[in-house]
Amino acid sequence: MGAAAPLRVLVADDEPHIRAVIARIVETLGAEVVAQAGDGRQAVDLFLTHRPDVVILDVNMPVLTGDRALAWMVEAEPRVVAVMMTAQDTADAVRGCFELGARDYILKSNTAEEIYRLLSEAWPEYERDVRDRVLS
Amino acid sequence: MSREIPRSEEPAGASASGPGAAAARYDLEELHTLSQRDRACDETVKTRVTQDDIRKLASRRRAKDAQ
Repeated sequence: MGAAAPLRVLVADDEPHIRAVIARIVETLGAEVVAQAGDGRQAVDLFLTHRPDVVILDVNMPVLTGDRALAWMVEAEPRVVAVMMTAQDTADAVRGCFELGARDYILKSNTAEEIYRLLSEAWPEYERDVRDRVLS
Repeated sequence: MSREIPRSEEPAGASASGPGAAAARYDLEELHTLSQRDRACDETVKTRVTQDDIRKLASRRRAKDAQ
């Protein structure tokens, strides 16, 4: 049996340099970035086109906010692994995203090294979730 | 044919020194005080969380989902 296929990831953030950092981290973890979006609407469109395994979503994005984009994505694929990555650090914002179906929530106030550590620790669980979804 | 736009001879803001200016000023100060108070209330309602708080919340939710 061959090695498992890398996770396919969509990164959505309206700040290009943050998208670039996240994409770099995700690729370092062995995943494939299949698309990048600069706003929530584009994120939903690219999600429906590429059907990625994992989405990493900013919340404060133009056109459509990340939490609303998440709601659309969960509607289309209830078991999507969605990781919110945002500066929004209020309890309400965090709870709201978990209620909508987010798998994880990472604060942008963390350093890039810390974000890498958080994602690398969680990545095996994301892989397991995606594998379980495919098998079920 | 060009039409002249009537312009007041009174400089902009001149009425601020006329009758009623003190009351208008008082209202603005009161509004400012109220908005500061509202902002302070908003800040207390919006509880800030840390990454560790989020980790614990996520763990609790996953444990609950697994049951």
